[in-house]
Amino acid sequence: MKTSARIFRIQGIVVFVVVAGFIAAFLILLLDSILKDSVENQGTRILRAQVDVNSLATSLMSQSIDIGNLEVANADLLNENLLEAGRIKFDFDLGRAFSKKIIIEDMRLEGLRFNQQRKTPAQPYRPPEEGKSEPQKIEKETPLSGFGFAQALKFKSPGDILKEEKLETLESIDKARNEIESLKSNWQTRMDQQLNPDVLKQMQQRIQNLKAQGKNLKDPAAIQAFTAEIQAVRREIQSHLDTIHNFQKNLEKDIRKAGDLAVEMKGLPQKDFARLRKKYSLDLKGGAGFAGKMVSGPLKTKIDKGWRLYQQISPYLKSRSPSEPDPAPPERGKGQFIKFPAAQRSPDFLIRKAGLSLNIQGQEIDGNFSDLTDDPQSHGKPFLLNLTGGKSERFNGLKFHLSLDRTRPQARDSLKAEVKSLNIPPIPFGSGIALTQGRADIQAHIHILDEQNLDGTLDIHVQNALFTSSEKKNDEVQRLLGKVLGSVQGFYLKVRFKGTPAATTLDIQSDLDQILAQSVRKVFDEKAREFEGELKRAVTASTKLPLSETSGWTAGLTPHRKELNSQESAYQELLKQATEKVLLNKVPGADTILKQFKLPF
Amino acid sequence: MIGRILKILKALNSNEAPWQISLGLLFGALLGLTPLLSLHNLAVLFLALLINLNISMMLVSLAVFSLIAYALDPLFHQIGLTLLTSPELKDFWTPFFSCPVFLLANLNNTLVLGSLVSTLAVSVPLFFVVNVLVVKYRSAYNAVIGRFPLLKFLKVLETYEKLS
Repeated sequence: MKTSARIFRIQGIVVFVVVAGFIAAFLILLLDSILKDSVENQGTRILRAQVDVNSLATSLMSQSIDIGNLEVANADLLNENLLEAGRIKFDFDLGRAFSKKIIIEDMRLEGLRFNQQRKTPAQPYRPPEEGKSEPQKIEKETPLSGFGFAQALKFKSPGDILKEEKLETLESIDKARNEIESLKSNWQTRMDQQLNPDVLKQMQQRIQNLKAQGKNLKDPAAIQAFTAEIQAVRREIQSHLDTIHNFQKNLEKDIRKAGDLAVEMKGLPQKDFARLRKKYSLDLKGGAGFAGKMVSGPLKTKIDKGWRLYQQISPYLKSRSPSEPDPAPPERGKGQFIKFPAAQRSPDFLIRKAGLSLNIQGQEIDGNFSDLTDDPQSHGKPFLLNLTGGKSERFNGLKFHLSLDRTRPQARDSLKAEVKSLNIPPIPFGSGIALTQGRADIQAHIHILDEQNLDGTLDIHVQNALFTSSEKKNDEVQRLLGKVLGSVQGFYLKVRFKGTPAATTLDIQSDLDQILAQSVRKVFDEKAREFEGELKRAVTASTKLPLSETSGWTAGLTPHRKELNSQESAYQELLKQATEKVLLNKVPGADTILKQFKLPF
Repeated sequence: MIGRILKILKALNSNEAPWQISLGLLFGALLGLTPLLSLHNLAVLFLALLINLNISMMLVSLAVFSLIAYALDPLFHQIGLTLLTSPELKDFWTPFFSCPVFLLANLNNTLVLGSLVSTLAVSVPLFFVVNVLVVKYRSAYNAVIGRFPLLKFLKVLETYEKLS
C-alpha cells in the first residue's frame, strides 16, 4: 500500500488564523465581564465580604481600566457598605502583565465613601470549603459609647467592687500562709530526724554506764579504753551541740522572716485600699479624674479598633520570600505555582501614585497615595498616604499623613493628623449634661515600631465650648457640675498612649479636672470621703479574719526554739559530765597513766 | 464521536501514512494530558493544523487522554514539583523564568510542567510504537481481505467509486 503524504498543509494556517481570531475576539468581547466577575469573586474571597462592581471597561489600546461603582459590603453589618468608590481608573503596563506583574503608574479614585447604607442587604460571606469558622463579632460601637458623666459621677458600691477585684492582701496571705506551713513542717521533720529526744536519753544512759564502769577500773589497758570511750562520747555530744547551734541560728532567721511577713501583711490592706481608691474614687487630687473617666473608655475602644484594622492590613504589606513555595496544598487540576527569584527583583504589584477624592460624613477630602506594593523591600520606598481637607462646615482644615515603612526588616509606621477647628457635634454625657457646641483643634502623632510597639500622643484643645444641663434638685453634685460646666468655655485634653495590641495604656491629662476640682471640691470631696470610708471599711472587713492569723505565724515556730534551748542545756550538762575527772575514780597509779595517755581535754 | 471513530477506522484502512495517524494520536495526547487552556496548547494547535496529521485521530485522542489526565493529576503535580523545586535545577529555572513568555505559559505551575514533560517524554517512543502498530494492522487487514473475495470486490468497488 502506498503511504506517501504531504507533510504540511498550507490551508491549515488559514484555519489556525481563523480559529485563533475567533478565540481572541471572544476573549476581547468578554474580557470586561470576565474581569468584572474576577474582581467580584476574588475581592469577596480576599475581603470576606461581598464585593460588587457596577461596570468595568478595559482599553487594550490605551492600556487602562475604568471601574464604575465598586461596593465592598461590611461583613458584620450586611445593610452597610464598608467602602464605596464612584470611579476607579488606572493605567497598567501590558508588557509587565505578561510577566504576571501588575504595575500601575497612575491611578485615580473618585467618590470614595465609607459606611454607607446599602440598597439591598449583602450576602454573608461563605468560604468555599471551610464554612465553619464563625465571623469575628465586633462590638457595635455607638458614636459616644463610654462617654458619660453619669457613670463618672456614680460611686460603685464597695461590695460590688470587692466582688470584681482581687485583693492583694488575701492573695499574699494565702501565699505567705503556705510558706509558713511549709517552714513549720520542715522544722518538725528536721527536729524529729536530727534532734530526737530519745538520742539525748541514750546519751545520758551511756554516761551513767560510764560512771558505773569508771568505779572499778584498775587495769591500765582498761583505763585507756575507758578514756577513749569518753573521748568518743564527748565528740558525739559536741556534734549534737553544733547541730543545735546551727538550728538555733536558722530558726531565728525563719522566725524573723515569719515576723516580717506578718508585718508586711498588715500593711497590705492599706495598699489595696489605695489602689481601689485610685481606680474607683473620683478624688480629683489622686484619682483618675473626670476627664480620664470621660474619654478613656471610648478612646480605648477606638484604639482597639485601630489595632484590629492595622493588623488586618499588615499582612498585605509584608514582603514574601521570592523562592518560598505556596504552602497551601493545590486543588486537584490546578497545580501549584513555584516562584523563582528574578535576576532583578521587583514587586509583583505596585501602584506608583494615585489620586483620591473622598467623602467623609458629607465633607470632600482630597488626597493621594504612593508606592503601594506587595514587596516594599525590593521597591525600596514606603507607602505614603496624604489627605487634605479645606475649609468646610465641619472643620477649617484637615491634614492626614500616614507612612507605612516596610523597606527595612523592622517595620516603622507613623501617622500624623491635624484637624483645625472641628465643629464638635452634640455630645451627651448622661443625666442631662451635654456638650452642645464647641470647636476643637486636634493633633495626633502615632508611631508603631515593628507592628507591636505603639507610642502616640493626642492633643485636643476645645474652644467656645457650651455645656448644658437639666438640673436635678436631688443630686447636689450633678447640679453643681452642670453649673460649673456651664461656665467652662475651653479646655484641653492631652492623651499619651503606649503599649502593644494586647495592652495599651492611656495617660490622660486635662485642665477640666482642675476646673471641676476647684468648683465642686467641697461637695464632691464629702461624697468621695464617704465612699472611701465605706471602701476602707469593706477592705478591712474582708481582710480582718485572714490577717488575724498572721500573728500566730511566729508562735508556730517558737516551740522549736524552746526545744532547741532545752536540748542545748541538756547536752552542755552532759558534756560537763563526760570528763575523766567526773567519770574516772582515783586509783593508784592513775595519775601516771593519765600523764602517759594525756587526753586532749 | 462514533462518526470520528469510523473516520479513524477509515483512515487506518486508507492510504494515509502511519505517521499521520501516530502524530494525530500524540498531538491529542498533548492537548488532553496537559491543561487545555495553556499557551503551549496554542502552539500545539497551530502545528496540528499546519502538519498534515489525522485530525480525527487527534480529537478522539484528546477526549480519551483528557479522562486519563484526571487520574494522573497527582502524579503530574508531583513530577512538576520535583522538577521545579530540585536544587540542581534551580540555576536553570531562574534564568528560564526570567523570560515572561514561559511565565505566561504557566510553566512554573507544577501541573502544567509535570504533564508537559511527562507527555513529551513518552511521545517519542509512543510515536514509533503506534507507527509499527498501524503498519501491522494494515498488513493483517489486507490478509483478511485477500482471503474473502467478496471483501476484495467491495474494496475494488470503493476505489472505483472514488476514482470516478
